[in-house]
Amino acid sequence: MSTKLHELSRSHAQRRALKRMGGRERRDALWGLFFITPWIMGFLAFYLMPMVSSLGFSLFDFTLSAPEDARFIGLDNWQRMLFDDPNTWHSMKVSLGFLAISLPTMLIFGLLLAILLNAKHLVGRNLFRTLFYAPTMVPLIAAILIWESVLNPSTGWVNRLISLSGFEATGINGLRWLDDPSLVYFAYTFISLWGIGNAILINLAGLQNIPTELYEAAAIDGAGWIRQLRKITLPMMSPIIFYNLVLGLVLQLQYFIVPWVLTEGTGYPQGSTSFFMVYFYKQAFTFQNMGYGATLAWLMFVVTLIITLVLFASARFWVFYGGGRED
Amino acid sequence: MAIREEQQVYEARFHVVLEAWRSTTGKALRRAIHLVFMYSVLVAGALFFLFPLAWMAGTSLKTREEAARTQHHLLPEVPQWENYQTIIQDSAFIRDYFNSVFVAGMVLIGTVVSVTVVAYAFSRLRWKGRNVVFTLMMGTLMLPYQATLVPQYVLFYELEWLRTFNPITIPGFFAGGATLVFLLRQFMMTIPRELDEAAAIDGANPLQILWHVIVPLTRPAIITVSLFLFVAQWNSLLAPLIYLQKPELYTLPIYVAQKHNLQEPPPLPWHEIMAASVLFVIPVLVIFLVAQRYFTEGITLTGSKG
Repeated sequence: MSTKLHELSRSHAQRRALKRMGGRERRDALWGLFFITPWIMGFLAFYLMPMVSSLGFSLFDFTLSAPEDARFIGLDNWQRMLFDDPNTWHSMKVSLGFLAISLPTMLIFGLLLAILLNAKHLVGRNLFRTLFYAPTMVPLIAAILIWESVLNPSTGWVNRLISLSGFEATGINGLRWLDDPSLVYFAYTFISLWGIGNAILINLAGLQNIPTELYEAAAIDGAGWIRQLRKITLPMMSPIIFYNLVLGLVLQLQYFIVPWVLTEGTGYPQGSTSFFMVYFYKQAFTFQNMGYGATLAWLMFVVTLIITLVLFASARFWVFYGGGRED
Repeated sequence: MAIREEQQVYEARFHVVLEAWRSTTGKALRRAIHLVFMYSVLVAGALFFLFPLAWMAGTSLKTREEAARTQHHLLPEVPQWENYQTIIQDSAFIRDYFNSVFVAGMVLIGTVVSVTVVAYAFSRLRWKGRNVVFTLMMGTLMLPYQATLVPQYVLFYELEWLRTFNPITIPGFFAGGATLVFLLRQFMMTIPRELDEAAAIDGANPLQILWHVIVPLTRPAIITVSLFLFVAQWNSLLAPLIYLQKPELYTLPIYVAQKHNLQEPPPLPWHEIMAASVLFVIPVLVIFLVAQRYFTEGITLTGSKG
């Protein structure tokens, strides 16, 4: 009898809780739609039409200088890009190859420097942090001059510094950073490192959110620096690392400005810098072939989307959210 | 027998002292190695990162000919302070400076508010279609923006927004910046759910939860986002160049780029480009130094108490 009553009351309480939860869910849904409205409006007003248009362009033979002569050609652009144009896959390979070098470098340096800059008793912490961020503020025009001079094989500071260690870096057999296909990606990665300030800042903000008690407890248990990094820092930082990974992927695949200003799109040396976006830009704006350019851009979209979806699917195995799993 | 015991006690004490000594010197040694390693990495890194700035500052004080030489020395032979005078007395520079401050300020206000609200909807509230909309938002990042440049231009032309600040400032108010929404979402998702639940039980609605729980806890991230926005806008060259089209509206990056005029007889006026760049970077450095206090202060989340 009493058990039955107990069950009854429990089920009653459960039902009430469920009802409350249902109300909460409905309310959350309404508030969610309310909060997302600015983005939806912005998307409809400023993004949707341009995106749909560019997808439309890919079905046309469309020259920028003569838009009135645009002609519908179905999937001809797509066929040319996927099957007849060797430059498509060459430039895609260049972009993916560079990604394979630069993305891990940026992720590792960004995290390690942030951890160093987060040390508790670091003298001159603010100064160090400002310095590490400073190069991201240099205007592009000024930066171009600096890159070219620094990497100059005979007069550049990089080779002069390497020469100090006894290695013959200047001269004919020296390190020709921007002229040697086997060195050029490292030179570009080196240039990218100057822009690592953003990643460092994001990581620093993330490190602030790790409760210090975790480290204190680990230290008491005798865990060393490496163990603390593996068992506390990396898991706690995984949402932030995930962000840097996904965004790094998207941005590095669209790598464009540096090779464009350094080589003017020639792909020098030996086509090693004909990145995908450089090829796109040449087709769309130099040759004014907007129809084909738009097709290339959408291929980039599809490739990025596929890799990103794989990353998001992998996130459930290694990204830990304090607020519970995303679902 | 007694002597033996005494000896054992001595030995035991000796061991204790030895062990203590060993462990402390070991610790001190390890700590010293750690410090030396840390500071040498940081100092080397700082020199590497200081380099572009030192280069800019050095070149800004050279003569036109000295600045154009390939054999480079960081310091000028004789500092030419009048380079700065030339820039500051240029009325176009002052005008572009004010334009830049206005545009960056507008973008900052609009975007920070809208991005925070949208990130909250993506991270803490459950609603139908959330994943679809989130994927759509990430999709806007994946199509290279150069591909939508032409239709976007046509759009702003139809809206009669060319030759105004609108194409740059207004999209910001509608959470224009998927990267920042994504970043804030990641931070908000690390906050334990019990905190919202507790606030909800106390009768707080989602707006109150956002303002009183989520915003204070993600403050380092929100300040970081604001800084990114400001710097990105401050440095932005392409969009202002395309849409402003009128010298009265030009921003500083255009001013710097215009000095890089290949039609003029060589050499390029690198000394003035660099002097303008130094004046261009200084306010951002100041903002960084000020904002730093806020995004680096630790937040201790004692999970149970909140």
